[in-house]
Amino acid sequence: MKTGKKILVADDETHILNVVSLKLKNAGFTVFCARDGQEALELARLHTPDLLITDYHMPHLSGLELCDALRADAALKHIPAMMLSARGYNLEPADTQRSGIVRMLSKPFSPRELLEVVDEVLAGAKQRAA
Amino acid sequence: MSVLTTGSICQAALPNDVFACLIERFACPGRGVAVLDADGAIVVSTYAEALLTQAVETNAAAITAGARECVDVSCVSWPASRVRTCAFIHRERGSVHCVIVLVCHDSVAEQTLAHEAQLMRLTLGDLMRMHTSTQEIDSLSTQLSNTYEELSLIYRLSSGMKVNRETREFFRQACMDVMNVVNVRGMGVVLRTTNETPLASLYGELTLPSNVLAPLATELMKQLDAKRQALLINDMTARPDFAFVSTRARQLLAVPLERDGELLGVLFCVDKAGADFDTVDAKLLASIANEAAIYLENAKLFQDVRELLMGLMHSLVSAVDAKDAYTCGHSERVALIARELATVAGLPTQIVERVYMSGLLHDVGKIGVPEAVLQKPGKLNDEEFALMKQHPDIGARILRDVRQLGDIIPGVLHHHERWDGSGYPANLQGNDIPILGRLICLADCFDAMTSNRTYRRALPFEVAMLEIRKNAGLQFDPELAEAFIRIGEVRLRELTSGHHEQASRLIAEHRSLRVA
Repeated sequence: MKTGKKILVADDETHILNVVSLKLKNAGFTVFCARDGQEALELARLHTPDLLITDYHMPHLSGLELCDALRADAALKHIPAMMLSARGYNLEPADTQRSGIVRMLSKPFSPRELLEVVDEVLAGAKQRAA
Repeated sequence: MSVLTTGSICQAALPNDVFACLIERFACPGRGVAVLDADGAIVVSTYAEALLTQAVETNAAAITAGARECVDVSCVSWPASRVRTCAFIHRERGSVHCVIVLVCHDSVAEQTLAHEAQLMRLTLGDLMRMHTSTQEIDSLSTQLSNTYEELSLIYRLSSGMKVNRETREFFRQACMDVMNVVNVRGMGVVLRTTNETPLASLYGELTLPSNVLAPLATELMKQLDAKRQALLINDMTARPDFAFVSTRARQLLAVPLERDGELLGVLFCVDKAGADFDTVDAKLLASIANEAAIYLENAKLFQDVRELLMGLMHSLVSAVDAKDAYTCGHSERVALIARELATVAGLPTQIVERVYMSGLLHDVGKIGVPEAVLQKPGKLNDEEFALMKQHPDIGARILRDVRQLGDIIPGVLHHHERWDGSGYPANLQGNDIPILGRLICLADCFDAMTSNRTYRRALPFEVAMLEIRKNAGLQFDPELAEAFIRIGEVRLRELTSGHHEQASRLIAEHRSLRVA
């Protein structure tokens, strides 16, 4: 069990939020859910998660703006981000690099694959920190 | 505060989190909360004092009976214990589920306790509704998660459905993908073949020796052909028809691969981890079988069309060869040599593929040249040569109407152009000559030189090679001529030998026919 690792999930689509958070909770993570970018930023400041999984299109603060806001905050800028997006939509490499987005997953994604990627990203983050 | 719980029993009465919430809100010094089961036995309780515990234990049956008779909350004072209880029934789906008891000293007014119990009853209703909703959301999310998994599986399968992929590779990948989503020990595919024995492959952790897999494949084909629906077996030992595999496999799920009512094969899974195969599994496997059947159909159509095209091309070539048996096998050899040349010269795959087809058909226009000219022994006069020079144009015209052959026409039309611009039909020069034309020109000349003709015997390979070197930059593209020499004599002999023998045989037959 990966107890102790905190993951913040931001998506305005409740069903995605539920599926992702249940999958992560069952895998032993502590999960915080936000329905928009602003709420996600507040939760990030409150809990300092180990990973952010965010949708691209969200009200108030888009996924990209949310990631940029994390980068601008000294306490949060180390948090790696994964982005979920509609299939066929691609971000410029410059954007993903600047915003600290380490992986993109296109919807409809496989939850099993998501979990694999999360493990991979967290392992990578640990390596970077070491 | 002492809490008296026995885990599993507690869950049977009220969910842990719901009970914890009730305690948090209503139990306090001087107030206790107890849950009794439908028969009046205490399953969980929390009391401020031992006195309260004893009072509820002593009077459990009477408290339960009182609550049952009452539609609302039932407040009773127990003078012997000097306590007061207020109880109500918690029902689930209409039947008595448990009795909730709030207990305190009888110094507390009945009305106060009744009021608290009322609040508790309402709160419990809310908590239970929330609990049910959470459970429902979790269950829906699990279902949704599985649906995403299946959706992404089907998406992955359909994007892997390119027909030029090998069938075996398609099914191997499909089985691996499915096993990522459904936890089974093995997944396999059975495909009908032209003979009686179907082709079977099995992937995953489970392996079956061929003397088990083969009869399994045959049995599956037989049963699913007779009954075109999912075959779901969760206990193999109960199936005498599968006795030969029952020691190796516990469960089996098989679905037909079907197209237009014809059984193309069977897709099957063996042994699901920790559960029985159910209709959800069957449905998923059926939709994968559906995708796979479409793939098989497409692959077959693709193969048919390709064979039809190649067949037609070869019959065109045969038509040319029939007119001029001395050049028999020439087209095939030119095609092979030109393809080899394109490969050695490092040209793109597309050109390599095209030049073979183009080489095969380069002389197709000779159909329109009189036989007397084609087979004349000795030199052609001007008029005859003019007729002969028409064959590239005629060939291009013959192929013009076949859209799919458009790409190869430049090779047919321009294989008699010369690098110095003195060739025909367009007098193109240097790099203006399409690459297919330049490639076929070299292959054509080489094969003409090294074959017997009506007017001379075949030249030795070395002489032909010298001719090519000599004419590089005059007749031939100098870079391609270089590449041609790099092919080497050994390889050139390999490429042309079979066809020379075949040609000699045909020429002999042709001669004997003429004599007769």
